[in-house]
Amino acid sequence: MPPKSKPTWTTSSPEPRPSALPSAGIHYAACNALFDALPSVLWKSVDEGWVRFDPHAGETLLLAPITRFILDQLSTPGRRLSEDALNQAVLDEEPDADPAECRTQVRIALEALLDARLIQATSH
Amino acid sequence: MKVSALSSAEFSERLAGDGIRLAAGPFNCRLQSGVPEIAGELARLYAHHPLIDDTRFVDFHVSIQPGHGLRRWLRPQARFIVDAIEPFTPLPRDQSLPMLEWGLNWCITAYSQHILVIHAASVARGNRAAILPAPPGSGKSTLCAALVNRGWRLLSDELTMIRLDTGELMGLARPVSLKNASIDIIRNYAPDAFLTRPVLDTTKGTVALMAPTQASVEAVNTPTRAAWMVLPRYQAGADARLTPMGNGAAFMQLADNAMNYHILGARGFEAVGRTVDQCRNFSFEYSRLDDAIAVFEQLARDEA
Repeated sequence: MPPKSKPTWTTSSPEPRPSALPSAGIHYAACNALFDALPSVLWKSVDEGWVRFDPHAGETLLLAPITRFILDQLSTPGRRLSEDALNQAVLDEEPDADPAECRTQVRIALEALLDARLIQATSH
Repeated sequence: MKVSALSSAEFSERLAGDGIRLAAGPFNCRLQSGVPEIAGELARLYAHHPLIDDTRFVDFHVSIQPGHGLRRWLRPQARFIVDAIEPFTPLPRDQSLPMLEWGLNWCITAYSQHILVIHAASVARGNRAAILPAPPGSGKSTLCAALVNRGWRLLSDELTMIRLDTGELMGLARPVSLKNASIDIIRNYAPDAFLTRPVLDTTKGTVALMAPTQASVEAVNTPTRAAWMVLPRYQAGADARLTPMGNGAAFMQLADNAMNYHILGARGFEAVGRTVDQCRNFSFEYSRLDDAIAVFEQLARDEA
């Protein structure tokens, strides 16, 4: 029997954690494995956002809506976006959002996606 | 014909010979034992289960046998055998009965890839069921045993089985495994329930098995759908309190407790999703069983 892969909680926490992410000059891009899995990934809309299931990785993630939005922004091969660009993308989508709160939520989403190894940070 | 129709001599003779063939929900089992001292309690645990005739297909041929060689006499051991293989290391002989139950659980978990198997208790009122997934020590089996002794129907204390095609729950109505303090709690709470003698020093502590109620066994094949997913947690002194849970958190809890979610892939994902969608999902803190039962009764009334 193969080892059981545990579902992972990757939702935003209600109390934002102090971020360890560097920001200057850093861009974010999807990991290559994400593109391999894309055709078979299943999504389910839930109260808290989305459940993402990757049958190949055997991985289940609970994502906040903004986290999925950020992931979708990066789910194009070759696309690399800075935190500022991602913030702007969110604000374009939600013009009434508070920019400071938006920045906090984007940072939390990036940390969650980095932890889940769906995206990677690049410095050039 | 039920197991209880056999005299104790007939039961012991069959158990030591060709085996007791009985149905536990969707599974047909043949139980054999070369450890005669378990016969009396085993007969009472499965008293209400139907016997099946020799021509029926048997899913699991399981047997408890004494240890080899010197282990028959020196610190005696018991071995669990299924279909002629021994998946576990032997245990002390006085753990034979819990070992048989653990072994049957293992069989269901290892061989049932056509259904979603969740490490959870499940109980039903009519055709609506509450699924109680929870880690060891959360009071899941204690709560389950209490509910079953207050009119709820036992589907399973350990393995909740969800059909992939219809999403219905499949009952087992097998004995409830009680551990440590919960043994005396249930003995006092339900004096009429049959509990085996406590077995000391198992890997789970002290263990006793509680027989399922007759009503649970007789209605085991009633089509039942999940209506509530309740994540229980015993907390000393706490008032009984249900807290609504989002269906995303419920999804993760159910998937986390599923034994074969990772094997079923997309079918498991769909089954878990369908289950949390059709349930009202809660976390539940409790300390007093009567209060906990009242909360469940209210749940059942609210949706009657």
